[in-house]
Amino acid sequence: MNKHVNDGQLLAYVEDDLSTMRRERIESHLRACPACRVRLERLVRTAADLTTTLRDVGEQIPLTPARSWDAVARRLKRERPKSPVPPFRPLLRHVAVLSILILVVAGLAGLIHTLAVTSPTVTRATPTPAPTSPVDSSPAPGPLPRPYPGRVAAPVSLLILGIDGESAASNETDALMLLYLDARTERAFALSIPRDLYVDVPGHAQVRAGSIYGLGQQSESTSGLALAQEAISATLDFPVQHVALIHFGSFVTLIDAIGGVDVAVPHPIEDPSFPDDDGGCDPLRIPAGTQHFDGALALRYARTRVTPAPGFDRAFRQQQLVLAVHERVTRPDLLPELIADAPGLWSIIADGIETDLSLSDAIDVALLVSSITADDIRTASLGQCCTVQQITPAGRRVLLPQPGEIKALMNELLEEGR
Amino acid sequence: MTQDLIARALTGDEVAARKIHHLHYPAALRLAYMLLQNLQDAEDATQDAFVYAFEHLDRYDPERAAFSTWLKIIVTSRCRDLQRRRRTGWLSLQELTEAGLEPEDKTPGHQPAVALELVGVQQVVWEALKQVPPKSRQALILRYFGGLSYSQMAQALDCPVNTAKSRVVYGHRALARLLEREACIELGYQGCHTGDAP
Repeated sequence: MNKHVNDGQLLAYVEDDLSTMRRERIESHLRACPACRVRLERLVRTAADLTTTLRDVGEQIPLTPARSWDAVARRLKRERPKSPVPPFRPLLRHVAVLSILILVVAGLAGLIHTLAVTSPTVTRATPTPAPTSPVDSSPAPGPLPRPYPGRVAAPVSLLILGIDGESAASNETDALMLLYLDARTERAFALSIPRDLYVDVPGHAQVRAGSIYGLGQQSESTSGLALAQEAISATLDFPVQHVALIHFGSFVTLIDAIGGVDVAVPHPIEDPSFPDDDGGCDPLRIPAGTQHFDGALALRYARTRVTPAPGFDRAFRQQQLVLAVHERVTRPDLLPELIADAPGLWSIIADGIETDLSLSDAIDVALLVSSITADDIRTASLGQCCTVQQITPAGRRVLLPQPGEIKALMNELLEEGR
Repeated sequence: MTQDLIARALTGDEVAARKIHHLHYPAALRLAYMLLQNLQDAEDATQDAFVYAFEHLDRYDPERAAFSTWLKIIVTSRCRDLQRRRRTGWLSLQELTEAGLEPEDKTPGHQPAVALELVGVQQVVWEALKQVPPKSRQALILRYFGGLSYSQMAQALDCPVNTAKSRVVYGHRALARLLEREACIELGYQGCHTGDAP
């Protein structure tokens, strides 16, 4: 065996967490490879040093048990509930919140991913919007009747930033989308914002929309989310109430976590030049018919650039996946399984999303999203109608926003939404 | 012995509860300190953990883990809550795949850190550990100080078991690099190569 032992295998070897076969294979490699033996020794030594160091540090921590107990006892008396809470209640609540959040993350991540690759203006239920003369309508409506008791009544606007695995290190967001939801009319719009949109950023020169988040993350005084919220609000002249960053990778991990999805593939897919991780090719072949996809295959299905039949393109396939996840997490017979996996799913969601939404805000948005059908979501893109192409001095192609056209589009979307 | 005490504490016996606290407080505070590197925060997180543990004592299952392990999982979770609150209250994202590339924890170093007396290798290891990216550092501490299994770590860190494992691997890798660099500086060896292992 010529292949070096990787760090994970080496640790598993040290911790005796391997099958006999693997163990023997690693041992035979170690006998032949001095470099890996050095790494093994170093790993064992570090683990030992770490153990003794941490133990010694621990022993030097000053302890004040009596004072600590007093504080704990005081709080227990104050916080102890008057009557015992039925033990199943928190679990049920947790499950409800969890399933709702899965829907939101799946829906939003999928939606934005779909929109990210569809450059022209897209509509589902309504004809393609064309810029019209500005219609006088206020984007901030007053109090509205409450369709869901105790739930959101006012419209919600949420800026969603999508970030991909490859660009996560540079904090470059691949996709931006403004989602507007109105509970009263149960209508909504999703406005795709090109990442090349050249926007004014407070405290900076003009930058591409895709770079705002990274810029904010580098800054001491603000954050990526806050800066994106501020800059996009100003560019659209439209209040952005909340902002969320979603990791596309979490969508794929989520598919694995829910046990994969079933997708009806209308035409066979043949992509002999599908790229692999090492710059080579890893041909992709998917037969027609209903297929069960795991996360990795789902990602390949969504990413391949072949279009075997008109309309059967990337955007279509990504939409299919979102719907498949939606279907899977709402199937009553699979719910118990999902509940059992709750902690894992929860961590995928928490790791894959960064937002200023509080949990209760998120639930409100989730309820709104789930109450609005896809047909009622008007989708549009700022790309063609409201921008002018320009080349920056650095030679980068950017899209200059046209405030008049943007205003007209926003007004039109709000009108449509009523 | 803790099991008897737990049974008594469940009936509302405060003396038993205090005994449980005193028995497990040192390990809990030490773990919290390592995770947070700040004594006041560690004390707060430890108190939070005990309050939670006593309020949910009926959920502790001796068949599944020792009480000390159960408490360590709670302590870790409280420490993470505390860190989250300190970080403007936002859910953290980032370090999904690049646990090795994750940025340093931006939380300002809350005083007071304990003035430790460490010498030799331990001094070097402790200083290096502080520079390991936070999630990997937490994983190393839970593994080598807390003695948690990977599934217990996954529970404490609210992540899949494989993620817990890879955080330990990343942690080792980061630590090895830091220690190697340290050794190079000490030797004053100019041409020292601190590249990756094969």
